[in-house]
Amino acid sequence: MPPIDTNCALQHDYRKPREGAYIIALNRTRRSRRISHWDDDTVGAYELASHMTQLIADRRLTHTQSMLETCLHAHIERWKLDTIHWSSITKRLAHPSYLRIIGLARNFTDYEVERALLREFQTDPDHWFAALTAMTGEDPVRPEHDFDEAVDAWLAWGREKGII
Amino acid sequence: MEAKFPKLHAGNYQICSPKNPRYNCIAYANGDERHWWEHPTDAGYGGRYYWPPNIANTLEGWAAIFVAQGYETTNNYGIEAGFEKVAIYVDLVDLSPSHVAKSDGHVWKSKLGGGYDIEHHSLDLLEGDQQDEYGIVGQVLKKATVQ
Repeated sequence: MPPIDTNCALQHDYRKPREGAYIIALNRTRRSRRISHWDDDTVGAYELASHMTQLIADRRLTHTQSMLETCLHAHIERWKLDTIHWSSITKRLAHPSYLRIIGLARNFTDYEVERALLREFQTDPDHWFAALTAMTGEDPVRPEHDFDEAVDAWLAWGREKGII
Repeated sequence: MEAKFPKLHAGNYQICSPKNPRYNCIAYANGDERHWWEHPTDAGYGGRYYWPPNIANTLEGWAAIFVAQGYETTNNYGIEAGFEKVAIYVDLVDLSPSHVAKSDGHVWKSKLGGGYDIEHHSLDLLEGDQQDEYGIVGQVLKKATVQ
């Protein structure tokens, strides 16, 4: 398996210039409101530029989201491949990809990482309990649950939250 | 799997079950296919794992689990008809237990982490420090097979 491009924090690189651009645009808008002698062509050009800026920003966000999803699934596959023969959960959970998956959750806004792991429970279950607890702060698994019951508990949690 | 355990090749092992994350090698050696056995100080991460009470996560601790079931230490690392055996592997770096194989008197059997159950001809096939190899066999215990 090729090395994963772990540069998953790119969204921040996008966000910072976007935040800066937003402030510049805001200042320009305020300034433009003070200018009363602008003609219709100037206002039209400004609106067109504003519209195009928004289109580019949306496209960048979509692109970043897509990169993050690719990165997430690459880390899931990497973790499974690298650790499947390890007898220690402690070691498996300390694998860099497992930790990165937990870290990626903060870059998503609609439970995408949680949803991906719950889908894993449905198709190829593995020990994602700790990651889900770390990301959500919740633990629907009871002490008496075995593996299958723990999986079922998390899936029920996901349905209750409307995530799956 | 040969990529992860370089000494394995067609002819000296066979896969006996699909991959299964429900249980690990020490659970398998104890006949438990419903739980992953993990020392409690290491397993508080939201999953539920089993570990026998008052057992340390050391070679001596793992051996004690089997001694409590009537196993005795042996220096014979081979398969012996009429005896069940368990072989505890230890990591070459920190000598912590890394794997258990069991024998029913005919062949060695191992559960490879969350992966396959396999039968293998000898203990050394999983020994070494390459890829996922489990280190070295630190202790073998045996008990007479119940007729």
